[in-house]
Amino acid sequence: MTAGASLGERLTSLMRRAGLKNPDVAIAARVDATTVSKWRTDVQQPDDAKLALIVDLLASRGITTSVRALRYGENGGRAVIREPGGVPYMFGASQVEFASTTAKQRALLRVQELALEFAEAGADDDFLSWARQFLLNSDNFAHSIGGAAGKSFDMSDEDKLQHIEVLALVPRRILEHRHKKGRQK
Amino acid sequence: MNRIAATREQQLDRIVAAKRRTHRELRRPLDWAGFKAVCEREEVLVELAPLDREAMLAGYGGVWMILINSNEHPRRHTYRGAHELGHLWAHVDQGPLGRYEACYHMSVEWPDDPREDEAEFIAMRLLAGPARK
Repeated sequence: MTAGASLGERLTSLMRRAGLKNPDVAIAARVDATTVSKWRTDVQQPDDAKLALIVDLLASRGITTSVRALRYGENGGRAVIREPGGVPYMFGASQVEFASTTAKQRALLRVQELALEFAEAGADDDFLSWARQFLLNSDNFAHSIGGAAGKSFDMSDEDKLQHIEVLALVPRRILEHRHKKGRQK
Repeated sequence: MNRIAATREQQLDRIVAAKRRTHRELRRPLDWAGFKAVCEREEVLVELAPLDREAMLAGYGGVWMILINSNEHPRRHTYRGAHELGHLWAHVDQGPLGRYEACYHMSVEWPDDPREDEAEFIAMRLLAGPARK
């Protein structure tokens, strides 16, 4: 159990259980001990990459937790998933799911078409890989209302398919911008 | 809005103050034209589109884009954009890879994420303008 109302409190609690001092965590997370102190008092928030290093350190002391549990508590949200070795903030937990197989196939086909469009516009393999993940990332497919204090609700398959077209604006414009910048150099 | 530690507020205010030195549009309450000008200078792309949420921030290879929900009333667009700029300045720019982070956005569970409060804090500062003349 990763108890505590805030990330700092949870971190402090786990460090205490593991017999870790600020310098121990600082070495593992490759930061100054003063930074660890700021994390523990919630003055600063470590990013997920640092949290992953702390999770590894705690594991070496026999304490099992996760980046998510540290940031949100055991029953916290499923946001900002980042496993050790991944890229922090990159994507959510999984690829978007569709209720029907047909819709899923249509989505995959459409993303392939878009990838072809980007490739023809000069996108490299890394860009195409990112674009495919971005267009099908589950976190991009949940309606929300009311801003930061709002609620989310599921989208229908048809809404998800239409939404891919909206999301495609992001890789399309970024690719155009990169080319424009490239021509200017 | 949840609690933000006073020292963190000071850090966020320092970020806003630095940006006010760079962008004259931030020396008064931010409007849509000012937001667009700031984004252009920061090389942040802005698009209005029928999104599933109020706004989102995403980027690849150092190029960042703010998407704002075109279905929302235009009166709110500046606020939504300012919130995303808050994420960019307070979280992306301060992150380990800076603007070369592959992609950034908050999940659907964002009410729990303290970084949302920080982005809101910056948005409020931008919309309100400087405290002193």
